[in-house]
Amino acid sequence: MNMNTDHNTTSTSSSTPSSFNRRSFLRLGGLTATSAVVLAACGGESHSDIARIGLSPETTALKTEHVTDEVLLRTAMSVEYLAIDTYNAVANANVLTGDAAKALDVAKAFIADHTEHAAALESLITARGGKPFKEANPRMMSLYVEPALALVVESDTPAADALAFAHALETLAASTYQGFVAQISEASLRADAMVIGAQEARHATVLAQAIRPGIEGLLPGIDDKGAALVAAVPSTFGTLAAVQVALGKPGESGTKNVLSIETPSLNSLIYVD
Amino acid sequence: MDIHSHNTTETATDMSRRQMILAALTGGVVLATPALLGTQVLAAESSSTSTPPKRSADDAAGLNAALVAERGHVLVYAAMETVNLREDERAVVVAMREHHQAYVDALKGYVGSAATTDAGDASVTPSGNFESMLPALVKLEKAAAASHTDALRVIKGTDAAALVASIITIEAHHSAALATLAELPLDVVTAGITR
Repeated sequence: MNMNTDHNTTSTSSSTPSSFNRRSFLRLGGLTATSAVVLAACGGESHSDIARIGLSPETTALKTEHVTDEVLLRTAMSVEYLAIDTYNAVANANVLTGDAAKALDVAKAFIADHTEHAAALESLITARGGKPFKEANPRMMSLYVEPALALVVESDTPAADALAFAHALETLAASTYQGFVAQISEASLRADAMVIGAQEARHATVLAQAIRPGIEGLLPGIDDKGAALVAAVPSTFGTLAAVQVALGKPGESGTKNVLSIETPSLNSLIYVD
Repeated sequence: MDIHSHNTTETATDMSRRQMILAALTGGVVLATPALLGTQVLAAESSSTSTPPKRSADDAAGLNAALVAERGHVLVYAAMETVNLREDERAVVVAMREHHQAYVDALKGYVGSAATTDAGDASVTPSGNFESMLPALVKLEKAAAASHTDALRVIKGTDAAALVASIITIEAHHSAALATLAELPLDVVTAGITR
């Protein structure tokens, strides 16, 4: 390709500017057209006009959701129902037998507390014209509770694993409310959330004492293998870190499956329909 | 490729079309990327309809009240350390005192130069042994959590609210742990103080 050899750029004074202009025009024209197309493409207003090669699946724009106080309260409700369903599932699985049977009374008391929490949240939501959510958080149920319950049932120590998971779940519930405080816009709702969150923390403490009883179980410690032990008072400040719990039948290495459960994320919030 | 085999009009059209295809492909990628990322990372866009302030100068009074209360709790546990305690009991008392001192430091650090110098008062006077002190300490911890929860109703800044919430969580653990040691009934262990 030689752009210059086929042209006589010095033939006449009138043809020279014409030749330059045409080349410049081509360059500028192409650039302008390209810029226009790119800008139009970035505008996103008329996707159907964009040239396309081959087949491409139609895309559906994601619905824009807003994390409002109502969404946070609905999510908190879903965590309460998650706890209720978990305790009921554990009770129905008949894993709390023998010495662990007395834990059933604790589970019943905690179910009553979580039911009260859900009712309190429902009243807060309806008072603000919102729509309560009376089901367990579906994403947290499938991500955490269902796998955990499967591990508990197949475990060699199902009662201990059930207690460990209940402790993890109550810790998660307390962290959920603590975490929501920074997101809730209405100050009085933050206090209402922490009234419930504090009771979840107390539940976690009771279960921690059931797992590691007595004064030696009050503060953090490690076992002879260096693994962290459950503590009734786990840290100086409440944390929002993921809660890890070892469940199930030990594998070939002698260790149980470690499940890491986290406070509700954007994907597990219960948005308003 | 020989652009000179075409007349001016055809050449301009040809270049423009090629550029348009390239641009369209590029534009298509640019348009598709956020949608793909959106489905992989988030099911929804996060936003808040009413964003509260992270900090507010109006919160100093409430936080100072919490600071004075926490200083008082430090005095209680510090006084308890002078009582005859077993080693494991002393470890618990020291840990509790250190926790409340951490809350003093955090609140004082947050309020900054506006922090009060009020030293606070010990609301409980140690007497007897560790076991006999437990019910009073349970009340102290429950009252502390309840007082901070009340403060949340007026605190405007989310940073301060988050700090106070993180204190409430552990003070709830304190009260329940001490109540369990005191062998109080389950409903007392898990209950807070209703104001």
